[in-house]
Order: sequence, then C-alpha cells, then structure tokens
Amino acid sequence: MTYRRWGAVTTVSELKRHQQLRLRAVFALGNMTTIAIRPLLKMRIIALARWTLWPDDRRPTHLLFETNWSGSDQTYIPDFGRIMPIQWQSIWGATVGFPGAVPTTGLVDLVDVLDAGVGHFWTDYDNGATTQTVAQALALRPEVERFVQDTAGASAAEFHQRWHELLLKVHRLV
Amino acid sequence: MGEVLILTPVRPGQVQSLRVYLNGLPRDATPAGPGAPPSAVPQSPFTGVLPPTHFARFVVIELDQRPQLLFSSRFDGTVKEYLRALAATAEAQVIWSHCQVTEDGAAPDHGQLERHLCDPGHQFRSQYVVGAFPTQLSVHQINAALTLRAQLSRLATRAAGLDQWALAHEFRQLPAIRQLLSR
Repeated sequence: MTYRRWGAVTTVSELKRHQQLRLRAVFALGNMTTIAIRPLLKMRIIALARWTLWPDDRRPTHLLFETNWSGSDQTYIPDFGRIMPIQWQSIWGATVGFPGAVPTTGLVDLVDVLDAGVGHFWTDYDNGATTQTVAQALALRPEVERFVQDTAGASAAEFHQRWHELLLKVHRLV
Repeated sequence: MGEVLILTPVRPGQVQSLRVYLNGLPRDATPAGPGAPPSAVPQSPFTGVLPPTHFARFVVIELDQRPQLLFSSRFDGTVKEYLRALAATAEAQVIWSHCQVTEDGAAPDHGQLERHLCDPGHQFRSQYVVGAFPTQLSVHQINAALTLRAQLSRLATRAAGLDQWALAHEFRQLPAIRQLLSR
C-alpha cells in the first residue's frame, strides 16, 4: 500500500522451531555493522525496516516485519530480494513458507499473502518527501552552508563564479 | 529519537469496526496528481498534535490466531512524552476502546490509556532496525533540509535569466538561506 509517496508493509511470519539463536546472531551482526545492508541503503528507496521477535527474543514464535519505502510498490520487494538474497535468506530462512529470495516471484507472492498493510499511517516529513529527496537534501545542506560561508562579503562577480562551481558540484542533489 | 512498538489484544467482535475506524481516519493520502496543492492532501489527526513523527502506523494483525492492534512509531522526544500525548487524543481513545485495555473490557479513559501505553510490559523491543537517515536528525532538521533543497532548486532553474547582482541578491533572500545567515 502507498500513502502519499511512502509504501508500507507489515508482515507476521511464523518461525520454524529452534531458530532463535540463528536470528539473534543475524540481528546482532546487523546491529554491529551496516556493511551487509549498504547495497540496500544505496538504492535510496527504503526508509525504515524493523524486525521484532514475538513474544520475546528468548522463545520467539513469530517474526514481525515493518517497512516503509518510497518508490514503486511493484519493484520494492523484488529489488530487495535481488540485491540482497543472502540477507533475506539469513532472516526469512528462519520462517515457515519462505520460498527463497530468488526468483523473486515466490517472494512477492509470499509478501502479498502475509502483508497486513496498515490501517493508519502517517509521517510528519514534508509533503512530497521521498527517501531519495531526503538523502539529497541532507547531502546538499553542508555544501550550501560552506558556500554561504565562502561567499560572505564576496562581490557579485565572484559570487556568480562560485555559484556555477556550486551547481557543478551539487547538480545531482537539486 | 524515540522508538516504540505496542501490541494490544483486540476485544472479541471488534476487529472489523476497528479496521473501519482506522481506515476512515484522515490519512496522508497520495495527492490527486503531481500538481495537486498541499491542501488537497488530508493530514493525519496526529500530525501537529504529537511530538514530530518520522513514521508511525496502526494495523490489526493476527498473532497466534488472536487479533492484536500493533502501534509503532519512530519520533522525536522521549517515549513517555510521546505516549502521554498520544493517550490524550480523542482518536487514540476511540482506537484503544476496541482493545482489551481495562480488566472489564470497558473503553479506557485518558488516564487508563496513558497507563496502558506507558507500561513497559506492553511495549516490545525490536531486535533489528534499519533506517535510511541518521538517527540524531529530528523531523524539523529533515524538513529544513528539504525546504533548502526545494528553494535552491527553484533558484537554479531561473538563475540563467538573472544577472550576477540579481542572482546574489535572490540567493541571499531565500528564506532558508536567511535562516542560515541568521544563525
């Protein structure tokens, strides 16, 4: 489901027996380093993903998964599965009915079945914000701050020159 | 940045009416078209009432064949401050009136709902959270960066038609730049 420009998925998966140690290890590793998820973050589509073991992490029976992203509903899960098949396998391999990350058609079908969507969703980010525009805006800001500092008191001609240099540097961010 | 996930059992026979209520709340719907004005996008009743929210959701899920209301949020401020503000809203009181909050199943009042939400026994810790944006950034800081980007993009589009004096003047008159300069 898409709300404004944000997609939202909520799934509940039953865990296979005796998977708590494996999942705790995967999550502990994920909390220590972002190396495994860098390809996903580089796509600038996913905004948030949250995995929760229920009823607790000592004897879990279910895995809750919530995610928000911006972009096409049709490509988010397939892209996720294609780019990070090992990461998907390492988490969802512990759940009942997981068909494997690739080919992604099985994965998409599974998410369709499991997805409870959301009843009500909101974000206080400006209307029209996406993961990509937020990432661009956050990268742009320090460049502009530096530009403002560097051009304080500059003549119009010098400002004009520096402006063009700035645009060359940040044209992918605006 | 605060993070909370609360699960509450839905009372028997209340699932459908809870779903209808949640779906009927004004939501952050997709604008009618690319040019639709912001006013065409209805706001969530929680926007501007609770501390700034990055992402939040209410959803009814089935856990062990029992319906549960899942509420999760990532927000600015403390968990307690956020949940107290949530419990004070009329919408939250209606939402949780469909759930097993009080012992006799009656709709909770403000105080009962606040105690329920703030009870750590009802809050669940997520084992793994991945966010695209640095956790130290507030909603206000993210929106300020978006505003700066939007204003700079518009100026860049029309800069070719401006002489060097007008360009410098217009740049320094951008509200987001004036804010930077005033710091």
